[in-house]
Amino acid sequence: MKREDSHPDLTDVERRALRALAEGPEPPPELAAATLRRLEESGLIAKAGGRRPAWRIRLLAAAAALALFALGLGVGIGLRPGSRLAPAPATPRFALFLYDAPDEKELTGAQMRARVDEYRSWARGVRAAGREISGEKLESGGRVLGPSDAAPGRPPAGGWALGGYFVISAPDLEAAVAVARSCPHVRHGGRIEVRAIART
Amino acid sequence: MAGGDRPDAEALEASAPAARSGDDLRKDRLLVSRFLESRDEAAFRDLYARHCGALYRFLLRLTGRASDADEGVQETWVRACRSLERFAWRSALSTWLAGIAIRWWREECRRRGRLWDLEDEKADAGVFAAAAPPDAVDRIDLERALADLSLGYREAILLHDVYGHTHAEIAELLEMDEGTSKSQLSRARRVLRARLGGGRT
Repeated sequence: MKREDSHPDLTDVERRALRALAEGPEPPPELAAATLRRLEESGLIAKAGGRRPAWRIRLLAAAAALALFALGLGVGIGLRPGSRLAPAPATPRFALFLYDAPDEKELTGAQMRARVDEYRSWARGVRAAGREISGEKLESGGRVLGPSDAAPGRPPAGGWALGGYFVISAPDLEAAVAVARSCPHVRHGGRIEVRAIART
Repeated sequence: MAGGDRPDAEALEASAPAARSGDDLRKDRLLVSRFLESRDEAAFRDLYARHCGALYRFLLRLTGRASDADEGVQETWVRACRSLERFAWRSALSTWLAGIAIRWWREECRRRGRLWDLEDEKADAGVFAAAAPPDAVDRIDLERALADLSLGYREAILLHDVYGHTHAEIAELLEMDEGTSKSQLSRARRVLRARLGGGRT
């Protein structure tokens, strides 16, 4: 396997700085136990029978402590989705509903792409600042359902069409509102409704 | 990396995490065959100890969050242990693991609706003027700029420039041809450099 030694674009300063990024923190010690547990659950590792090496006993103790910890947290505030290691307290999440003004004029394809780019780069900035963010643009139209087809419900926003949404993490409503305020949507004449997502 | 201002190129190459000697390869093969024979925890632990640090740090850079890196390490090992028997050693074990980690994270981004991460910055490549290389690179700035790249570009920089994988390995890993890997890297470097220099026009 021949190594490549040509980095035609990079200066030594850049190359060295990039290579240095490979250095960093060690994985948390309890990650080994968590990984072993996952492998056992998936039937990918034989459960050790009989003689148990000392390290295994230590790992089991760590795993048991972790499980108790998870149980304690799980009962109180719900497990954080997406991590099976050490559930942290769930971060509050907020939905940002983006409404377009009733008199919003139709954008050309190029204008729309520019707008989407602008929102995307805003969302990247939000994420770079350490918040979770996801979201999508909605197509216009759709259907509003009511008790029966003969009596459809009214769109709740009276002329303001829901154009998209974001879901962000923030410590509280004020912080979420501050994030929403920085969204380019308001500058373009739209409105944003910020709502806490209920924890169930 | 001690030494003068200009590091010796060979020393730099040898310091690349993906740089491997024949001994490394033999050791990996031995550990893998031991694990496949016994499927026991002791054998797995040897494999884990050898690769987990690099895998964890790779995932940390890829995902940007410790909790995602934790989850990624576990998921990567689960998937690796499922298909280890079919691993053909066309690449180093560390490269193969990085590939599994990348595929996992792409799925996660899709699942979580992180569309900005998945889209390539085709637009950016045109928007950024060619920026001059910086005189000095601050680690924090570099970390931030890397985290802000779209996923495809971040993968290219991480695999090639940070971890020293070859274009041939990357091409095999990401199922693309070498030319694509090279052009992806050069676009990624251009965007990264522009961000470091604040060169948005």
